[in-house]
Amino acid sequence: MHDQAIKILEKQREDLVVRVLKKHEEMEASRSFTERILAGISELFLLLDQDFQVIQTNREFLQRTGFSLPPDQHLALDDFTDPETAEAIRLAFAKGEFKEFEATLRTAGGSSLPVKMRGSTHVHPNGLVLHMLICSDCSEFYELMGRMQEGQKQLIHSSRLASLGEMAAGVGHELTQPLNAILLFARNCLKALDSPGDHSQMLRENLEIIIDRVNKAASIISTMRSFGRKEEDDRAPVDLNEIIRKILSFLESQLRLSEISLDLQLADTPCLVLGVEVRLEQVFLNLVQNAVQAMGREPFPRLTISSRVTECLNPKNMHNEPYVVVAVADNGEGIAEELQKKIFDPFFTTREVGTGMGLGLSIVDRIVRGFSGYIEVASVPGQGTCFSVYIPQFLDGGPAADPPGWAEGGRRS
Amino acid sequence: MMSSKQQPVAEILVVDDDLYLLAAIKQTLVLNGYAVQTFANPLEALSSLDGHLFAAVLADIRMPEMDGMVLLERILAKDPDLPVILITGHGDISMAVEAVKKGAYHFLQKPVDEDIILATLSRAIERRQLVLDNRRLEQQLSNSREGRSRFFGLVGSHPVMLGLYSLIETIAGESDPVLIIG
Repeated sequence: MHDQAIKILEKQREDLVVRVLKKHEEMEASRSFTERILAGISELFLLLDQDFQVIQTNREFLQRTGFSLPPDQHLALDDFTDPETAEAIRLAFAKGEFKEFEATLRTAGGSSLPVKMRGSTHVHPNGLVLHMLICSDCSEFYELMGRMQEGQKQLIHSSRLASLGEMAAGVGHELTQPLNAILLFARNCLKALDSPGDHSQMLRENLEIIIDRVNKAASIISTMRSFGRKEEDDRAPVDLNEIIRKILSFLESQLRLSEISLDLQLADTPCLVLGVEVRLEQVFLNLVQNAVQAMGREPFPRLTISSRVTECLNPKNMHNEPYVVVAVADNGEGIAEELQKKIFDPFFTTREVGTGMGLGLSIVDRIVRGFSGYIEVASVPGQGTCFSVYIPQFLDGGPAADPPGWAEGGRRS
Repeated sequence: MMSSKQQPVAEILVVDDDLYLLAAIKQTLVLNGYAVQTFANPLEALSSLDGHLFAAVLADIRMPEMDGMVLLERILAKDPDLPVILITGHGDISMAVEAVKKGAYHFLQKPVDEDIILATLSRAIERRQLVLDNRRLEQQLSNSREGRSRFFGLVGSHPVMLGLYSLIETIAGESDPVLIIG
């Protein structure tokens, strides 16, 4: 009886041991399975208890942040985030809905690691609360973007240097002409002074020409100066539709004289941008006059001007933002593809020597960039050209209406 | 006021699209005793070459109607010995060198000064004079040779006879007596 009882107990004990071992194996298997999964993901994984103490992390987290696992170290939320981020995370967990947001982790070494963070809370039936945090490392993205911006800056700088060189050559030519005439007329005066009586008429004329040519050279220099000068900053919201109507009324007689038919497709609502009215007038006056000139040989010249608001990628912060787009299109001679890149260079001109200094489009480009915008050209030789001016829309009181940011984005060198 | 030139006044053709520079160069040349014809349009300048003997040409290399290089070629096609002096802007040096290779007499870089224009022109005109003299003498010579059927007492226009005449001409200056046999 006793033996019997002992045997049964023995058997039960064995069974228990076997069950425990089995359970243990199962748990081991499931644990290593979880660990394998965690090790396999490239994101940073954290399991936190209800007091936001770290219970478990994956290897990726430890590698990127340089922290080590318990029991060497006890890690709390505040150890690897700044107080504001920690507060935002606590709040998100408390609310029960955790929308992905960008945040910065602090590594053991004190440097920062930009991440995108999402999380969820798991409440075990026995009341245990587990918070799960998954962070994807964005440092590569930011680094790439930083390098891209650096590259852009260098590109702008080198292209500015290149245009400076071209400008110097262009100005050199423009100035050499009047200077050479001045030199020769002055020399001739000296020679004529050998017998001033015979040459009094010539002396007078030469001196008058010299004065005239000096003024010409001075005007070339002052045009250059205005080109190099920084914008004085009295920006205000300007409606581009109004600007276009204004310059069209100014050019009305010229358009009628050239028998140009006008197709005006302005947006119904005002197209507000932050800029300087006079400068913007200069931009569209230049573009329209170029269009008119390009259609000089076109039997049925047609000028199309349209305005609209559209979402565009802002190259500075890589975010989509509303831009006002004004397109000035002609059906004139077009621009050869190899020239399309050069048309914004100072002193580049296709017109005959003497009809212009070639500063038109480079000034236009500079003004538009000064208002954080840009210009796109589309042209088919023989069919026409379309210049599209993109400038960020001015949103009254909205977050995009942030003048300091825009102004600083400009070129200061 | 006239200089030491005894020869008839040399006439210079000046081509430049910049009217001020054109007038200035003309004035300089006239003050120094040259006759000058000026053209702002290279095509008109080219047609002025027909039937007119200029001593030299001064031309801008950059002109809207016609590139100075093309003008040079067209001038030399009409008169291969006419000295053409090209005036180049800043940075056109490689073009100017190319022009000299193509037969331009010289190139001047802007801003051009009086002394340089005058010095270059007088050398060009000297050469032009030599070329013209040479051309005239050769012309005279070949005129006197071609088409002759008699030479002093000798008769015949066969190439062999013409060869003989010129042999006699060549050795006629010798002081020693020469006997031609054949």
